[in-house]
This record gives sequence, C-alpha cells and structure tokens, in this order.
Amino acid sequence: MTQQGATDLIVRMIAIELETTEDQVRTAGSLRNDLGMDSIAAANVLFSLEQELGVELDLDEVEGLDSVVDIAGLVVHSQVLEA
Amino acid sequence: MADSPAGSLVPGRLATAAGRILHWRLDAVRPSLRVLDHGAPQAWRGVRGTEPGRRLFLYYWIEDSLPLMLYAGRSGKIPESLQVVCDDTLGGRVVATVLSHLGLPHAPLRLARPTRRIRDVQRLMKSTITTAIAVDGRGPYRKIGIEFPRLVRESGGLACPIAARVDRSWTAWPTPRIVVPRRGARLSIALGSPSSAATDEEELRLGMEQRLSEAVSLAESRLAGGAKGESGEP
Repeated sequence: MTQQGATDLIVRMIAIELETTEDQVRTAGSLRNDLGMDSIAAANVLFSLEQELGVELDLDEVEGLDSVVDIAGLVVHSQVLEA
Repeated sequence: MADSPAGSLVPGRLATAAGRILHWRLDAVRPSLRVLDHGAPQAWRGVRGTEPGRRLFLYYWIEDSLPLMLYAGRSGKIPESLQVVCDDTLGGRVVATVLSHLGLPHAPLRLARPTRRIRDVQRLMKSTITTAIAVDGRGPYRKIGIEFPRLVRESGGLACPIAARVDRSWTAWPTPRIVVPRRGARLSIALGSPSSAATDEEELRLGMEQRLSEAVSLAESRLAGGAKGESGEP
C-alpha cells in the first residue's frame, strides 16, 4: 500500500467511525476538537486499521493522534508502506 | 511520573507512601467494620442470572472507591475476578497502591499521553474480565461522561451500578473526595439494576446516572434503617 492509499484508508475509516463525510475528515485541523473524536472512537479506528493492514501499530513512538497526518505518520513509522 | 510499557501504573514515591498509609488505616478499620449488604448477594445473582457470561462493568462514584475496594478485596463478597480501572492522576495511583495491598488487580487508564490512553481503552474494550470503574474520577463529580456509556456499548457489556455508604468516615483528600471509613463504622452496600442497551447514547448515559443515584439512595436508606442485614467484617 502506498502512503496515499494509507491516507485514503484512514480518512474512510474515520469518516465511518464518526459518521461524517470524508471531506470533513480531510479538512479537519483537529479530529478531537473539530469532529469530536474521543478515545473510544480513536481506539475503534486503530482496531480497524490494524485489522486491515495486518500489523500492530507502534503507539509508543508518537505523541498524539489528532489528525489524519498523525495517523498516517504512525502507519509510516510502523513500516507497513511500500518504499 | 513514569509508567511502565507493559501497561500498569508505576505509582511513584508520593502515591506509594499515601497508599501505604491508607492501606494501614483500612486494615486497622476492617475488623470493626459492620457490613450491611442485605440483598446485595441476591441482586448479584439476579444480574448474573439474567445475562450469564456477559461482560460486566461495575460503576460507582469516585468517593465510594475505598469502601467498595474494602468490601471486594479478600472477602469473596463479589464472586468473580475483578479488575479496577485506575487513571494516572495522583488519586488513581494511590488507589492502585491500595488495591495491590488488597490483592486486587488494576487496569491502567493513562491520561497524560493520548496514545497510551487509546491503547488502554483498547485493552479495556477487548478484556472479558468484570471491570470496576469510578465514572466521575476526573470530575465533574456525580456526573457520568459520554465515554463510559460508549465503552460499555462498544464492549457489548452490561453496566451495573454499585454504591457504598458509611456512617462514620473521614475524607482522605477533598478533590476528588475519597471517603475512608472509621473504626466501628457501618458500611452499606447496594447493587442497582443494570442498564439495558439503548440506541441513544445520551439516553443510556442518563439512565446510568439515574440507576446509580437509586443505588446510592438505597445504600443510604439501609444505613438509616439500622442493623438489619449486617454480615460482619468484609
């Protein structure tokens, strides 16, 4: 999967979890403040992402997961993307 | 303060010292404590009878934490394995220390770092062990936030309110208010009715608050009602 593919997947999963549109997810500065993503929703998104990618994401290496960029960075860090 | 990568709280010196003092006080109080849990064992069987095998969340106000742990620890009064959720505030770390002395396991909820919090929430969601949780630990007190009903629903669990009231106590610290029973106190325990699944989260949250308030009222009325149902040391 490419980085763009991962970002699309993350956006889609967040939109489903928060029952909103993909456009709103893409333009949100803060998933918590703008879209109300709490820790339960974040946990669900990570569950789905790990299941889809077949890896356990390494949360110890990141400080926050408040944007699509943060989560994409986490996926990149976990080395599940193609070079 | 530090926390371990394995997912348990490391209490730190202050919480360890405060936890030891509280445990010492609770140990001294335990032999003289009179427990009023009339109806609680039957209520417990009722909860288990209606939903056998279903994941259970026991929830309570933070001020009831220590009396409840005293009731649950080493007594077999709550007839199944139990984990108690403790956050990484000073109060949470102190309670975790007391729990370790009482022989009860805790499940960490580390709030200081968002990613660890998410991992801890995932562990709570996946766990099948009965989970005890103070639902107003971070304030506002005597209010349930929206995340607890969501946790229960996402886990496919059943939420059962439990209340503990004592007639003689002191307060370990005011915010959050943690009640410590005194020698010779009477401890009244009441189990409320479990919350059924509601599609609306706000409806579920309000229902949980109401059921917990009813359990508190029941525990208070038993305390006011006298010695009926006393079962001695927890």
